[in-house]
Amino acid sequence: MNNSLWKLIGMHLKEFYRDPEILFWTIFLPIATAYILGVAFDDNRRHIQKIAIVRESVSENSITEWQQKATSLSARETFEFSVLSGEEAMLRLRRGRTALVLQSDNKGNVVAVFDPGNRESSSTYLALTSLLSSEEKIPIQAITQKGHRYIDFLIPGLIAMGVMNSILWGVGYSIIEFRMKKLLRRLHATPMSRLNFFLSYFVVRNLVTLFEALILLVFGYFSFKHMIQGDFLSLFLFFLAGNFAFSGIALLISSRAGNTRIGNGIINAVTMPMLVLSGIFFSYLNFPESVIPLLEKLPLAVFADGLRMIMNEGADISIVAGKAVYLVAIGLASYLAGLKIFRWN
Amino acid sequence: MIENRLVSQPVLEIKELHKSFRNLKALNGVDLTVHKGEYVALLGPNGAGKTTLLEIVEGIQKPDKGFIHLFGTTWHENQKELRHKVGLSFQDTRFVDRLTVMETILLFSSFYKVPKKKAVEVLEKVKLTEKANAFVPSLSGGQRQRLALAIALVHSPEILLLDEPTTGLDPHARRDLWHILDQLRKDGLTLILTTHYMEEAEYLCQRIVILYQGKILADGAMDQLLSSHAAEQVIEFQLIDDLAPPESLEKLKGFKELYFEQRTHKWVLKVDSHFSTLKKFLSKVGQDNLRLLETRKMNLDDLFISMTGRHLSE
Repeated sequence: MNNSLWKLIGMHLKEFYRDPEILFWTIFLPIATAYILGVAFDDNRRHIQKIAIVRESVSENSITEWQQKATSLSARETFEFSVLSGEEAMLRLRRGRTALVLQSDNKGNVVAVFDPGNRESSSTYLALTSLLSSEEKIPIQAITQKGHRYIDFLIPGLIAMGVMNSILWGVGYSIIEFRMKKLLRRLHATPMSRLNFFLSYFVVRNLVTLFEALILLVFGYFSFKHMIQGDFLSLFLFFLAGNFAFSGIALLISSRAGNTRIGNGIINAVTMPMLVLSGIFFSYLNFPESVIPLLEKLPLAVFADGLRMIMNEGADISIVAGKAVYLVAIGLASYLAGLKIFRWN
Repeated sequence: MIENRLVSQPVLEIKELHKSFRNLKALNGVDLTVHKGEYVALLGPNGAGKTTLLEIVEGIQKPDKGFIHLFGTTWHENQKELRHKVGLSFQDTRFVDRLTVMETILLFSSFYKVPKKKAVEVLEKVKLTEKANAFVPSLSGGQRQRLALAIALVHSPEILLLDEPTTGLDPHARRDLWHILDQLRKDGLTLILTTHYMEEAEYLCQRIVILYQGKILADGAMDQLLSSHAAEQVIEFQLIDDLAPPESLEKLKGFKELYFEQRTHKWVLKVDSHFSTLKKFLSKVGQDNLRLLETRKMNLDDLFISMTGRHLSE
């Protein structure tokens, strides 16, 4: 090999190991992701599969019998049975807090109610029925009621995820890029109002995210007959609260970074864990019980949960007011902290 | 202009200005007064403190110590008013790629509440009217600098602060910008610019301030600086076969200094007057040994080398 080839190889290696962002992406992030997902789906960990039993449908003896069967026949599969009213059981199913619901049908036979399209519910059903004899098999009553299907769970999550990505990349990355180009500094050297500068981002991102959400809703309606159960005003107000939270976070994470490589790393470090941990594609209840109270407080989880309540359960803004206030508080705190340390140069 | 300096109120007054970045002293006791209508060049090599001084004047940096008054006020006291009076252009500012020239200038004019008519006039002044609908990335280096200048001028500032406005431009583009800046003189504008190029300073500015290691080494008109700091003339020569010049050159009448300039590969002989020295110089060196011989007046770079041992362009 000639000298120039060695020099070129050396150049690429130096580009690799002298760049903290590349090191982060190639070494740290895969390990962190593997750990997080490993915790979520660890086969050695006792995976609790939650089943709601409608109180008025099934006898106490049957409940005890199933539980004993489940624990005795398989050490790996552990079921947690909750005996609830029909209304409460269906609410938990909608929110992904239970994998399936056992209840009696019109003829008095026990049926498993869930959306066969939901991977988690299907696997719980299969695990449960594998422990039963052929005479005891439970027929499936597939959910067709709007607001209860997996797609109903998924679409609000996708909207929340879209808002997060759109704002963190659209605002955060843009601010860092402006700083790198020294354009931020040039703007600061004019009488431009700071409020106008940040407000312009918020307004534009609201319009963009609103457009993105509308596309998703229209697609959901025509493809899956996904419908919004709540009122549009509540949905819009809560949507604004989510936008505000992520705008504040975007300002905070972009307040110091001097170049887009670092910005990339920071934005990914914020979005990736939230994406995995906030219950967008599957319920965050799969994570260990000890971390669930923390996961529930993640801005993306709060936003997605609130959207699901409005879109699937018909909740109005007064019901999700606590979540909206929490999101606005997160946005405001992040905004003030970001402004405090913001670097125009 | 000297008379004007005596009668008018100073636009800029700086006294005992100090600024450090960690262990590096960027400015070390700078005093400078600039009057209305003056074109002042801050000249010096990299790291001399030119940009730091300009950024303090621009209100971008704060001094550690010292006094700075712009139009009789300070950035701390009256930032809003000063932003309207100051026009500036940084080194290497890039603008928004997805905006056209006209959209860019209108964006900046909105911050000063300037009507569109004024933005159009400024584009005309910097000869960018034809490029009004072009996107910024499609502009040449010279056109981008003219756009930066247009943005600096859009609100009709009273003082213009330009940080190395022609660095990286080809000679033609550089001349274009000089011409535009020269034309602005009649509007009564005050200009302070930093530059590496002594020709730029000489062409545009009647006053030159030489900075080195955070201090002002010299301040005055070009001729005044050269006559007061060094009245010498220069003989540059190359000898065949890399011969060394004879030591007897030091005994020439009016001899000041002799050294070898690595960059140009020439010997530099400084004397009081080359007219009276040249004949004897040729007899000592031997005409046949000369490969190249040039005589010229001393310039700012020579002056700077004799003061610091470094070139201005380093």
